[in-house]
Amino acid sequence: MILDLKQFVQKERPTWEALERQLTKLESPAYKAQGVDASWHLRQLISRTSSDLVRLRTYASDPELELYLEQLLARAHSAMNPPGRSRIRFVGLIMMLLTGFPKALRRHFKYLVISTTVFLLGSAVGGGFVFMDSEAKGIVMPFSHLLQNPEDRVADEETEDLSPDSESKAVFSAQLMTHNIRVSFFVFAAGFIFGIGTLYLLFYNGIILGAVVVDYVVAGQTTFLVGWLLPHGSVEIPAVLIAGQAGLLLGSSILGTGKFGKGMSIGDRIRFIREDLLLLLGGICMLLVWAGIVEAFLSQTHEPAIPYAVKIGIGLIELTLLALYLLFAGKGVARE
Amino acid sequence: MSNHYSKLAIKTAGGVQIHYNLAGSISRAMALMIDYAAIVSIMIVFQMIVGILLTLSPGVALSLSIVGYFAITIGYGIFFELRSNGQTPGKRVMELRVIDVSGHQLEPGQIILRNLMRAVDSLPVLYLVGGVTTLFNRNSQRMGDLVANTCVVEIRKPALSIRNVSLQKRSNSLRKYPVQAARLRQEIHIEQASLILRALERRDKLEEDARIRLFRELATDIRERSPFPLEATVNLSDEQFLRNVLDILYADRSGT
Repeated sequence: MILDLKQFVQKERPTWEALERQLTKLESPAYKAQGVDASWHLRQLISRTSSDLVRLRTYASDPELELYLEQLLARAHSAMNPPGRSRIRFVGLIMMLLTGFPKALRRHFKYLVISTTVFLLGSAVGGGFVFMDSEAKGIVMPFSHLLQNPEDRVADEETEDLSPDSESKAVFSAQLMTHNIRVSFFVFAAGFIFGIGTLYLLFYNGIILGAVVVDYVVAGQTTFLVGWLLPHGSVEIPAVLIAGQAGLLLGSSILGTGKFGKGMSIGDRIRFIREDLLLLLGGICMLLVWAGIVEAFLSQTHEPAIPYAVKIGIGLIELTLLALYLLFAGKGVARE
Repeated sequence: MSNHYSKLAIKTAGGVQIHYNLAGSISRAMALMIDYAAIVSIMIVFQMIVGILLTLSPGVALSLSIVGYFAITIGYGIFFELRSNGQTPGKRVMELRVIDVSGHQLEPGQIILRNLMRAVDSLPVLYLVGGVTTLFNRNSQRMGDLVANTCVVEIRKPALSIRNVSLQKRSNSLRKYPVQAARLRQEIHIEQASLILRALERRDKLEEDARIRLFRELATDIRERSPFPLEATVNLSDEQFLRNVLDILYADRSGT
């Protein structure tokens, strides 16, 4: 049996065109949900067009017309399967991030523990290197100002007024924020290779921090060190660890070892953690913006200008507040 | 390698399979170049605006330009894919679109994730990692696409056209044999019928030699399998024979 195409098209065309009009309406951003009748009508149009496509494929062969119907149905399929969440306004988004971020962090706490452990292992290794052989820091340190002898640096910083004016601080702060956010995104994305990339980056950054810390402690400059690192480090280092957490969560999901594993494609597995990943990444951005401001405006200003006790005190307060926020915020609020 | 799977098949709620053509690596690379060019142009305009600020307050201007550079490079793809339903300007020019692998509407989270993953996909240069990844999975997805459950497809807008072939200019001598005509309908496959139909539609666009050769080829095959007695077909030209055959195949079925 072969379909008379001309007649077929003439008969069915009104249906297709009606569907096309409906879809155009649906796809416009200004669309408002219609009543039950309208959606029932739309479903009818879709099912009729679907059966037209099946008939066309079975009883005739016309690639052009087939393509037309397929694309029409593809649009309909997409329109009938909107995202789970409706559009969220900016304020709602911020609120969601503020409570959702610590909740997501607690949901996948295991990976934060792993990420912290690996980072600390790296620090131990880096610290060990420098402790055993002070020449080793030439290999480990990425920044030239860290190669300087700790005593000399402290002396320089405390005598000369190297503290830049507030405009250069703003520039420095912008550089720190964008650089750190980029690095964190990279730490996350590197998790794609089964988490290996993330683990490597965490370990490597741990080595650097460990080396710096031991270098200054051995030189007897512990107070300077804590006053210098704690104000921004108390936020920045957790942010990097959380980026590691997100990367490991991604990696384990790709491996299929997570809660959702067997028999699903990578994309399907990750769908379950997509929102949590985004919340973690959003939270990291918030933390790093704060850390960038503190690092540029407070951390680089040293003793005569600001007493170390004040800097260390501020760092400790930040650390406590952050811990309280991450551990308790959003508790008791049911997950939407 | 990925050419075995150059189509994405989606099953709709109506139980129908629909297909998308997956975007090729060349067209994706072209789209990327266009997007790079767009980013550079946006940056130039942005720097000009910042340049004006520079005279007022160099610190603010510089910080702004650093944050702006960051926001534009990271946010470009996210902004346009969110705004124009999965199309950056480059993809629009190349007629590509990001879609969800199951054909559902894209969620903002998917777009953000696939763009953040560019950090690894673009490594070490020119999207080598992402490009190689597309070769090793069935939907030509780069890492970002795998994570976000998206893929990039071609979009073409086919127009709805009604074919217009006049089948019956003269009386059809084959109609005198209803039994054989019925057998012919069983004998000829749909694809073959539509091939003849399309050949006839384009007859005026073909060179005369080519046309005669084409119709001879098409007709010979059918003549060999034709159930009609020889005297009914022997006097017909190839083209007329094909028209008559099509007439039997199509026009008889009013209202099916």
